[in-house]
Amino acid sequence: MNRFKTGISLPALLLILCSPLALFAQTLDLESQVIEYTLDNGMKLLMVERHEAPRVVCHIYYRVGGVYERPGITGISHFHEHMMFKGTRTMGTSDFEKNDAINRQIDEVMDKIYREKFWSKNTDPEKIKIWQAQADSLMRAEKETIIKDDLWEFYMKNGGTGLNASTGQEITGYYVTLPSNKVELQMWLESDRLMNPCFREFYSEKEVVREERRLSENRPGWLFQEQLNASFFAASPYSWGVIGWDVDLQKVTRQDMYTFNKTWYIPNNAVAVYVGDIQPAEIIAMAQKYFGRIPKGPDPEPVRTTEPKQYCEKRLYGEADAPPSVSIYYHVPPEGHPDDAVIRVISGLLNGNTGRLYKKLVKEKGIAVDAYGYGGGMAYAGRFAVGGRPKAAAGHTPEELEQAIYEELEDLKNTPVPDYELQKVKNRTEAFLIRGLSSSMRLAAQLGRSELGLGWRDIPASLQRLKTVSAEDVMRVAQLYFVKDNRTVGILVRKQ
Amino acid sequence: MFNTLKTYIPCLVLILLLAVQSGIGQIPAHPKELSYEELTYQPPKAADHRLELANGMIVYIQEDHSLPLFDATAIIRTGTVYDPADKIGVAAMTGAVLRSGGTTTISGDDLDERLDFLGGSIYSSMEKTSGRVTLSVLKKDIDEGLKLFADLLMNPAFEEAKIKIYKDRAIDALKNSNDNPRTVLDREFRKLLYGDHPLVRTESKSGIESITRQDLLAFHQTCFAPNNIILAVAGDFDKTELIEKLNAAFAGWAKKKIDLPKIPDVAAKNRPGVFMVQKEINQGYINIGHFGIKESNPDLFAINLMNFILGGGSFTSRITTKVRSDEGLAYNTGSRFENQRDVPGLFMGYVQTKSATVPYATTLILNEFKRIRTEPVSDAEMATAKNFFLDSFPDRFSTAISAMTTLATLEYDGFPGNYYDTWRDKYNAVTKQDIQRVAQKYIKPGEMSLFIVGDIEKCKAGDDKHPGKLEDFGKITVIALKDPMTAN
Repeated sequence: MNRFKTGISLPALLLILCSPLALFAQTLDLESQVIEYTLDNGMKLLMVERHEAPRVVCHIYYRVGGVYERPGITGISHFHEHMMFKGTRTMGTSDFEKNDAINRQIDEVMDKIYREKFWSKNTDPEKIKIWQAQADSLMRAEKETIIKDDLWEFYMKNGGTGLNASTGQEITGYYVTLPSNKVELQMWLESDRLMNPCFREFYSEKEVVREERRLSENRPGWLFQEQLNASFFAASPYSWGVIGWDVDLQKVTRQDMYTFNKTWYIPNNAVAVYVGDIQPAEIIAMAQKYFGRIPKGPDPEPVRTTEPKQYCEKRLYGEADAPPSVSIYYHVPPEGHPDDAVIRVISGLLNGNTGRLYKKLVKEKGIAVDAYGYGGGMAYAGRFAVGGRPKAAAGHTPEELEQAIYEELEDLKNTPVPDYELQKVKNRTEAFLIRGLSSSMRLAAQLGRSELGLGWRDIPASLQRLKTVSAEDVMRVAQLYFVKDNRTVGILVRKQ
Repeated sequence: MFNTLKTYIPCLVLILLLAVQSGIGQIPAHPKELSYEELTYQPPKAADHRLELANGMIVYIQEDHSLPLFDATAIIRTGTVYDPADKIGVAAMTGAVLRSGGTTTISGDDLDERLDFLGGSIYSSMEKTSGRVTLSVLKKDIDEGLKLFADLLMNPAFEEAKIKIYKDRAIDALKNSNDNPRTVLDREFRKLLYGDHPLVRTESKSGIESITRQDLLAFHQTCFAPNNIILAVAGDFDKTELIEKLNAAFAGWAKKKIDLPKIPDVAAKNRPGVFMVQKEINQGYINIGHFGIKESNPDLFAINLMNFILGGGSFTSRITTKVRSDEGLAYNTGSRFENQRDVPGLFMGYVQTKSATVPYATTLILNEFKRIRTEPVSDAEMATAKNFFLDSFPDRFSTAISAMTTLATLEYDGFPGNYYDTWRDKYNAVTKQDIQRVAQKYIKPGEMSLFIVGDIEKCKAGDDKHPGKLEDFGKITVIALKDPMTAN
């Protein structure tokens, strides 16, 4: 790349002088690559220089997602992520005051509708009809004050790619890749929507989210998996999906959205990551200017409810227009627990073309077309999922596959894993992590997400922990967690 | 692990000082007031990276010492389109079992074990008009990785046991092939337009079962030869040394005459009307379109800009703004031109919306088709579309292996090596008049096939809020899905 410059700038020179230019060794070395900086308001910056092309991957992550919700507002984290594209006091409107006034009126009418629809014991459809007509006309009036998808367009017309956002159980991310001379645009737009979001077109966007949910519902077997997950987690908020329950989506209000925003979208709950053709000193200066102006918020409380012990096996049977399958979930500890590294090694032993499940169930016994076993700790709970699809064409059933899977799990409990097999898993994991660094986008995601979990330095540290796992550890952990009372089993068969 | 921090302490102090200094500038009131320092970028030149091995294999090569990795991608001129008419599925099976079935010197199982132990991978795949085999290993394993990679390309064994596993899976996939409405729509829409062209032929259980190891060996013989492959390589190596290694790895693999049949022409006859497939789901999955263009069409640049404005530019496009953002009718909607190298691709608008709003969402998309033909696009739309293509251009060269693969694909598709030198000029040259001209030429509202997979009666019923019935779009033909196992 040829970034046009009239001489070397002072910050660039300093960085050349004092950044350790050590390249990656054959091991995973992040320490010499990542530059870390914390603003006074608690917002964290992580930066990695990559000068192959004049582009910068710019990601912001917030520590919020499905598990921070409660019954009644399930799905709000994801819906809120959609609303973050709807503008601010400056963006998305030609007339903030007028738009705001209309939105207040819309809220008043919609509040009457929601009360009549969802609170009243004898809902009066005539009343709703009249109010809905008022709301519709106000929403039409609102459109005249709206500049459509303003933020999105600004990114696109400045060469933004990878433009997106995503919401998970624990983390929500906002992504764009920009030309290296335009990182300031990202700082402008992201700090603006962190400070001043305005949730316009709330009610039509709610319908977009409900359509998104329907897309999932129409995927073969998805509704069964949603039920299985809800059965597996009795108390923990992992029991609902990120998309939320449709009954909650229908009732959620714009006020809920602002309350949610105030709690979670604060600089001390965020990390910004820049990977690409950057000068870190410039990024830090810019971030101080843009993000540094935002006041720190009250630290949000972590999730209270962890998953209590399960005292009995749970079994779920379902039918769908989908191939037959068996899914077995076991509770395992959250991330950071010493057993987590062992669970991840067990995933490696079971999965892949040379993993035990494929070898035994697909290649040797020929009773499955597919089999998997993976999982581990999340922030507040853990889940190990093992299962597969039986070879139905040859008459094999999910129950038969279930028993064959148990045999493999018993083997893990009773026979020490050979050294070669253990080493293979460790090698694969290490190579996978090193390869992950080659994509700027993947690296940014890994750094940002880890930072909001156990910290980005846990990426190499977790590899070190994994390398110390022994054959005895595998037996002990398998014996501890792969027991009947700790599992939920889902059997899905094709609807006739 | 924290000792490198020491290096940073003096550094950070300086950064802080600087940061305070350069933070003094005012924050503009609106992002349109931001100004940016000039940025110039020249794409890599194909000639700097291209070479031909003695056996005719074309190689695009670049050193990349940023990570201790090595990547290679072989693009082979082959594809499912070359399936023998009485052996549908041979190409796909060849593509998959080439990798899983091992070589004449190492069994598939041993190969799996060895690659997994090294933390490396080799994948093979077969597309409609190309095949790919990719290798990824750590730097320390370049020699062994290359040897295995070359051995697979030259001497695949196609073990019977792996053929059996592949067949079991393929038949299972066939059995499930009507479950997902998205898959059904994609397949049936293509079948409607391409008819029985080799691009869209579907497999059957008996067909898959009839394929033998001999068929795979024969198919391999037809297409796999060094002079029929373009190879992209990048990683932590010395270029001269690696070229020697490539010559050694493929030594003994001789050039040969490749005699692939010509891909039959497509009549490109549009099929106006409404076509529906019954499925008891709560949305209609909709494609609406007709034949489009080949990749080599000189109007490609104008068409890309036009479609960006119409429905290809996500939230900055008209269809997404109208159908999703304004009306809340869908999560996923837009339009695309699927350009193919050998035959005309398809143009289509798409949306998935709840059954009751199927007629309304369709109307909105058709309105946008008509509008872009009749009204000039705005200056702002034009500027956004052009800037997007121009400013995002370097993305495809962002890593060494993606740059080499981009150049290899360019040659595979028959474009000259200097294609990207003038790529941005061609976008710059497109005018608003061109946009309207190509919209009128390549979007034909009277020739649309409206294809819907959904609950037919509920989709037809519409809602009481919006006018429009499916019958207004043309005669409705209900298409019965065939038994996926027999294709009857």
